Amino acid sequence: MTFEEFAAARLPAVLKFAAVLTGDRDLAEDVVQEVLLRANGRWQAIVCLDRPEAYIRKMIVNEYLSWRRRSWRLVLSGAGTDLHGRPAPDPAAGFIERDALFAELAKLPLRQRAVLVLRYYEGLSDLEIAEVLGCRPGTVRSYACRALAALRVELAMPPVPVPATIKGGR
Amino acid sequence: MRTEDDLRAALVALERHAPSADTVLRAVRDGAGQRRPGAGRRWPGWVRAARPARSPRWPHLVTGLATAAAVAGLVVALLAGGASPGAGGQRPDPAASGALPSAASLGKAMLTAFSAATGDVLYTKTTTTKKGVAVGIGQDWYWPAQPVPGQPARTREVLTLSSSPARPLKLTEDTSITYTAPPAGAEKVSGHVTVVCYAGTGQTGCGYGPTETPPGTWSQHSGRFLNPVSDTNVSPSNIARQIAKGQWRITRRTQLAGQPVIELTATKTSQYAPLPALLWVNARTYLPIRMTTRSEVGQPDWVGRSDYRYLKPTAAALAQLQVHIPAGYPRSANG
Repeated sequence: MTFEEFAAARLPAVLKFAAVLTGDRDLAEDVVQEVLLRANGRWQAIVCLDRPEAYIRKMIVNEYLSWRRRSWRLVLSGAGTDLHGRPAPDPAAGFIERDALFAELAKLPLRQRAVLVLRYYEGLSDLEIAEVLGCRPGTVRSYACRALAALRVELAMPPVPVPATIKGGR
Repeated sequence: MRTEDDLRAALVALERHAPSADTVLRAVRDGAGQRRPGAGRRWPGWVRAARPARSPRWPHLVTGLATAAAVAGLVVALLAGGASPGAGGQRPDPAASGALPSAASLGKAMLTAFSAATGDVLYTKTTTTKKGVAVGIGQDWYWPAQPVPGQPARTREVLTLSSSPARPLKLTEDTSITYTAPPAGAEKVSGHVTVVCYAGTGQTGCGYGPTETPPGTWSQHSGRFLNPVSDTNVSPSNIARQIAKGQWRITRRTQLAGQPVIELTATKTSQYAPLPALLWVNARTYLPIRMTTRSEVGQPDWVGRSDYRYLKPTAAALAQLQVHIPAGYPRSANG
């Protein structure tokens, strides 16, 4: 698979991931562009990996986390009008609630936000997230726990205790 | 408390901010170093900084500038609108169907939506008709859409009028105001006014506040002028509060200009008379799209309609805030 073939097939999905990760169209564009510029230069090595797209997404996460130009933070608002969430009894109330959630997501520390996106959007396990972020699973759980608390999200099930042997810290 | 499903749904909704694959690929193909991070920022820094935390305000329309005197007698407060570009999504939109919102929550949702669009350019087009024939069109641009006190702001109004339904519409007056946004509720602002008064329209002069500009000339004035976005008139926040107070009755969901909307009718307790006065709010963005009203008593044939749009402050949109001085028009001796 050439770089062009990969881009034609997978770039839209990659861009959606970047948009969810950053919450900002311009930032998503900048991050993906930077990553693809680098990936294009060493595509022969990347394409030999088991999952090239997963690697690209990992690069995007790392690029996002190291982004140093975020001198401003766009608080997204009004973007959640096409949700597939549970039907709210009052749609306008749902709009307000989503808007508040977007704003609170935008205020999270970058790594906490990344953990939530990888867990709830990408559907990765904590082990896989730890691999992407280069940290321990326990650290992932810690980030997730803090982020969910900040967003006042109630877990459907209590988190599975992490064995002490692999529990990590910050 | 929110659920994990709420969070999942919110994250999926953010997909709509995905940039264009073509744009990214083109930049990548163009080669490394052609575009540096951050180079594509579309908004000037102070606009970006000002986007959050604004008090919503909705400029009144026909009476927005003193030039509204040219359409005195119409006195049709018209509002109208459209959604911000990019509103809506590919998926089925639950806001487009189903239960109607309560008045209180709709009012709150509108205030939230106004705050989100605060840094945009607000464009309104107000058309007044008599017996179905257009006799006046007012186009207004406001930037920022809802300025905060102390912030530089600009407005422009272009009036195209006819003296009677039998006569064609003519470009009549072009006015811009550059000013510093005053504290909420202030009636006056400090700034600069530029007026172009077009010749051949039958009018004897143009003006904003105390300024006077003869036909076929332009003028520029500095000083204190009527606040172009006075809160005492029809404003988004006022409309939202009116809705919450029951002065507008939510009647139905329908479609308008291809968009799902919530239709409202002014009640007898509203300030709008004579009735009917109708308002359509975008069911996805909760921004107003259009309002139609009748004129004051005594002018039963006059109907006003305003369409309302929020534009991203691109170079093209900001260019609309500039008054065009026709070639050959001298500067008025008055200013």
